[in-house]
Amino acid sequence: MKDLKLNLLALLVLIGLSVAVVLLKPINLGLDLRGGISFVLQPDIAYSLQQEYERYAKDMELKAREKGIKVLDVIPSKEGIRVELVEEEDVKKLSELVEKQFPRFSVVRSEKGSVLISLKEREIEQFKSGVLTQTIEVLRKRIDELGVVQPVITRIGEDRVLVELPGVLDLQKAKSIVGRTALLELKLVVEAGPKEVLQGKLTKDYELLPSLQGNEWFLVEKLPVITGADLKTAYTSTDEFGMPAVAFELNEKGAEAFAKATEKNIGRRLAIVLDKRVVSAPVIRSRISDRGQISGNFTPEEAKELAIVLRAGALPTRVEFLQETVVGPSLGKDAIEQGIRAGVGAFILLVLVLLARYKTAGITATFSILLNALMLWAGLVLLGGTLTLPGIAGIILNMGIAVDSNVLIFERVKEELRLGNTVRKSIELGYRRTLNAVWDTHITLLVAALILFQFGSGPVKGFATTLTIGTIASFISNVYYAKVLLELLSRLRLFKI
Amino acid sequence: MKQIPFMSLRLYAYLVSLLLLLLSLISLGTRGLNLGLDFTGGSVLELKFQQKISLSQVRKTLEELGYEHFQVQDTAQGTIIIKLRLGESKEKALEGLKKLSNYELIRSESIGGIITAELRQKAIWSILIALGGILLYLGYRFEPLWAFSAILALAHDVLIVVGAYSITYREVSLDVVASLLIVAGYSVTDTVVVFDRIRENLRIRKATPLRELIDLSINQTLARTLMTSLTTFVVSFVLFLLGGPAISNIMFAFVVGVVVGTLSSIFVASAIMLDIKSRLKPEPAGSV
Repeated sequence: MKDLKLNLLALLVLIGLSVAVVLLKPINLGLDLRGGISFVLQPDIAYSLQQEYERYAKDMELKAREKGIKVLDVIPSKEGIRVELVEEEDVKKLSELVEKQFPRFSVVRSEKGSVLISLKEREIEQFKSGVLTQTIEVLRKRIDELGVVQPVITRIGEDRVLVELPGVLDLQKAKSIVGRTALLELKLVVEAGPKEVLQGKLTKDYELLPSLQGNEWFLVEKLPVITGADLKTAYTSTDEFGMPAVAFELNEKGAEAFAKATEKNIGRRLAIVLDKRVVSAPVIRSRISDRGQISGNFTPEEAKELAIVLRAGALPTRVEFLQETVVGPSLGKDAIEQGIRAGVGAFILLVLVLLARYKTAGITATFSILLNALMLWAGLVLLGGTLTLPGIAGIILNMGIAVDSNVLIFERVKEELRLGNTVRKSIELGYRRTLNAVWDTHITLLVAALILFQFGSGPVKGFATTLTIGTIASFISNVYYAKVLLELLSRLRLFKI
Repeated sequence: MKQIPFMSLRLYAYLVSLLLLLLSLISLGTRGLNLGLDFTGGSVLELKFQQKISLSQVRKTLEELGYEHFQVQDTAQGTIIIKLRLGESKEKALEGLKKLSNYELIRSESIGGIITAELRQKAIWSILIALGGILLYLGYRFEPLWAFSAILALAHDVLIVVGAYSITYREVSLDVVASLLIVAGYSVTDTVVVFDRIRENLRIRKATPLRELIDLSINQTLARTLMTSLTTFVVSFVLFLLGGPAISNIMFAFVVGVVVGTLSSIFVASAIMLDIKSRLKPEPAGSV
């Protein structure tokens, strides 16, 4: 008797806590139910590695020449920096130089005076995770500027980023905000003209860039005067013809460099380069220090987007869209309505079947279905899980599965009663003799549900989460409380099966 | 209670099973599966036009826009679904279709080749891992032969469910694979309950021949097997009918799986075990 009371008390506490959790904390709805846009992005790490090597190549060449090493050529690629030497004996000197002055690098291969230098394994790992973190940071800033409520920007897997923008429906805009590298560079123009002519004049210190429309070509200095990293802020404005433009202000370091370069190059053209395309190339008329303007036939919308991405900063590398999903607002609303209707329908039918077959014991089974659903919901909220469309199916399905153990126990109790056992003994035996099978059913289901987690984020994860929590909740509500409730019934002399 | 001689009926059961398996295999071989976006890549657009627009109008517009490979279909909800191949831009279609009539974008999804290749691999692996995990567990709980029979029955169930998707040409998406795994986990529990009972009876009635013992055990657990199948079936069937297109498609696996799984745990799993066992060692009465 004492045991039963304690058990019932614990049950009440459990129900109270679950109800409190459910009432106090709203559940996270997945994007498929709320509507919005989601992307899976992959930063191009190879590309940014190559850029990193390009940054160091020049320095390495200089340092090597200082040491008296005769360098024929230095070629950066995504594998590393290849240094061609005139004399093979210099290989050793070069290795020493790398070891001493460039400790992040090491010599990977050398054959016949051609040496490949690349970042050390550990450094590459660090570089990769740095690119990812930076990508996420920049994206977060940009998305915050858009004013999206409760966005998700998170790393998934080894080298991918998941972006979820609830409530956003304009795919094109979202893509141009999220996907644009937005690398701003201001470079001095050497010459403008047809591509073929300029190609002949290309040297190692110059690069050839197309205009935004692709119809003009510019030969510019490779080393930028300033970049987007030197910006203090950017905002929309209008140019002298009243067209939408983006104005920017420079930070101290940027202003200094800009002033020096403009002063020295009055009369030359300065190319404003965005993601390797020349937006415009005005002539420098006077010394400019801390502010400037970008104009290039923007629509007001484009100017606004450009200002946002410039303020938030450039992505460390270009990104590729692996997956994109847009869910309109009506889909989720319909799905929730249909889910509720199906859930209520299924529950009523289930209760009818249980009452018809198990009489008063059917009431306890009904109770354990409800308890199970309650605990499942509370568990989902507590663990910060997300409710998705398949997740709804999972919850309702769980009602059917949760009842399984009850049925198993009840059928056995009936059998024991037929064999002439007393009610109490039958409950005890029916419970004990089915315990093995109950374990089995829960474990096999749990195994299947856990395997689903490897599919990563998204709707399937919602399905897996609800089923996992549901299976555990079902274990508590059925295995433990099925017996307690049956005992209660028999003590109240209401037990009829 | 009247006993049903299940083991004497097993030849008929085999026949039905083989027929279903054959149908599934033929359909899989000829029709194949209607693989969803998760596995093929490309784009799916679902639009609700404000004016009445016919499928052929949509087709014509898309052709004018320069699309060559696409599918257009309508839904019971009055929306139109457009499927584009991997590598074709959906922006052009979204823009171009505005000419027909204003529309509401219900959903749009694009998946690239890297992800689909991964998902395909993961889907296959997860099914293999699930089967392997269940096999290990069963092997630990029962003798290897029993576990083997249960797995055969399970594979039989899964194959028929997949076959049903092929026959009805329903879309097999990632969700469906997930559902399939749960069906597998679920269907094996029925068999486990029967096996559990056989083992229990083996301990109590050492003199009874295995064949009679199996019959007895199945009869004893029959009410339970039918009841749990009924409860799960009721729930999944209601979801299948009322849950809306996405849930309905997932639940189809359960509707078919529960029925086939129940039949196989009553007729197939133990029967296979009995047949293999008597093949291996002609059984004198009472031995196991």
